[in-house]
Amino acid sequence: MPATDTERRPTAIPARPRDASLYRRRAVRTLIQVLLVVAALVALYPLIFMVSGSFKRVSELTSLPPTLIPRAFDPSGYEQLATTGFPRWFANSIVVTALRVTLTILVSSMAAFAFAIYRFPFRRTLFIVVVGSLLLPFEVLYLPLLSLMIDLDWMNTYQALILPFVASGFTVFVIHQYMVSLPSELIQAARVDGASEWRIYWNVAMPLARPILGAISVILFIQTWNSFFWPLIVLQDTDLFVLPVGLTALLARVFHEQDMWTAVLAGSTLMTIPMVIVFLVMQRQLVAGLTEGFKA
Amino acid sequence: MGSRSEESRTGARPLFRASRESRLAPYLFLAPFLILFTIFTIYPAALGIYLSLTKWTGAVGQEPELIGLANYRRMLKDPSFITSLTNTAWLAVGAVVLIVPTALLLAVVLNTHWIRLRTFLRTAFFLPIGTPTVVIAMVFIVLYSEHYGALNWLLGLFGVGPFNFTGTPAFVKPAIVGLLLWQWTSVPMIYFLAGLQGIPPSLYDAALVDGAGPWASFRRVTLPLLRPVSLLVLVLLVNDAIRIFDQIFILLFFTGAPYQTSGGPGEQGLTLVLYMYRSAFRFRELGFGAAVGVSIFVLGLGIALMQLWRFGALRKEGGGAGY
Repeated sequence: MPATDTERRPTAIPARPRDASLYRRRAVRTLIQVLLVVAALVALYPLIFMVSGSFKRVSELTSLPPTLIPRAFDPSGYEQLATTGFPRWFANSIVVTALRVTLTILVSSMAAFAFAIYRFPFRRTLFIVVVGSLLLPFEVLYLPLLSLMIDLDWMNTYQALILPFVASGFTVFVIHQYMVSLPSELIQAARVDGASEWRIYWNVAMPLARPILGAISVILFIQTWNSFFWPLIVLQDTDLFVLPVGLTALLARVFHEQDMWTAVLAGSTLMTIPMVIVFLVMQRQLVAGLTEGFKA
Repeated sequence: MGSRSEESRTGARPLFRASRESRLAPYLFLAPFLILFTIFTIYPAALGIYLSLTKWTGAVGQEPELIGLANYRRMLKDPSFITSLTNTAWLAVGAVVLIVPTALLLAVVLNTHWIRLRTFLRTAFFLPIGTPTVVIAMVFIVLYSEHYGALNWLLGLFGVGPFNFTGTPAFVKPAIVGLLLWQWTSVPMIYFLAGLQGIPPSLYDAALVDGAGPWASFRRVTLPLLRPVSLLVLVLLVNDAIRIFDQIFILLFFTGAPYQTSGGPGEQGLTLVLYMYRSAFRFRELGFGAAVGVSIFVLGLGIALMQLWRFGALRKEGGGAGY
């Protein structure tokens, strides 16, 4: 560090930087910029590695140094994947996720609407119970829920993956915080116009709440698409597997046949694509939703 | 967003004329939720406490048999439980110590006016949120691999290694924390960015006029104003760390027989939820597992309350929801 002492002028306005300090500041900024780009590439590396690895031959994947771009494009990982249950699991995941997100939004937004718009006996108590359930981690509920599934004879079914999650206290809470802030004149105006309560919910409140519904949908989508522990203990029938469990079953095969690695990476890539797309498209809403949730 | 919502949150909502329809309406809107909530949340929560007091193998025809507090007593005496407790604490501390400063640093730099490629950088750092957990863990198995992992290759350039990261007791926890650093930095970073954008620029101008350099204004303006966000980030991270399962289950998949993970060599990666899984599904002691589940809940709740209390965030002023 050269000692470039700039004289201090006794004014309230910051002194105009002399050349040397200007250069130093520029150098620091360039350095930070470069470091940040390197950090971003490090952050991207696992994903780049996954996509490129899914097109490699196993021999290339398991040799050093790791190549960034496959030396020979080899789609055999994907071909092998097609011979497993993967296509079916992919469809299962889409069906389960779509149903679970839609039902959760519907059921929970109705409850949020009721809490936000009406006054009725026990409203406060009920709301506290619902919000209190946010403190209850799902891990506590897994084993009793499992016992319930056995009693209901719901093992190996899709409703076991969907229905227990539909009444989501978190979703009610966040949508409620938003609906409470809707101008009450709008709702009264609709009522004066003779709209039914359902129409007020469906045609007034829901369209107005669209931003928060979008954000919550992304969060629920990510949760469901990711959901691993519960399907792992509820599903035994290979045909019913959802992606996280199915992919783990493929991983288990790597134990005996190393060739499965490229198929596992191919499956990982395919499983990541819908999530990344949803994430990129909805990034703005997601960020807004996350920060909205914390304000509340 | 702010002003409108605060107004109606604090102000009492006018009562509507209660027609018969609107008197019945709230219950109809609530009915589906409350039915499902009772069946799948309230009932299991109560059942969980009951099951934790029983001996139950889950085998067909074996009814849970009440045995009092025996499960809890045995759990507290089980060295593996203590191990899982300390492991979880280790991971929580490790994650917080690495992730909070990293996220803050990235947020501060991304928030400066002079940074270029902002969209690219933001997207790159946000992307882990859009990557499935199971996938992350599987990719990290390869990256950490002793024989063909990129990490060992990199270390090899400096003449270090190779190490069997997931197979050597001393490396298991750092390997998990490394994965968490990659996966869990994004969300705190988003919170910090939002917090930074909420700081009025006039405060920085004032600091500048007072002769504060960048470091001083960071310490005196930025940090104090980010306190609420930091608290939130801390609570969320610790909460996630207490409940961690998926990443470790996959990452340590090959350190035991598949699906039978014991948390890696020397139980170094055995966390609370893994311990619960192992008790319930490997040792077939579901009642015992339920007791572990209840303990996880109590522990998580206690820690969250402690953090809130420690930060004095237990509602001095009306930040509440109006309830």
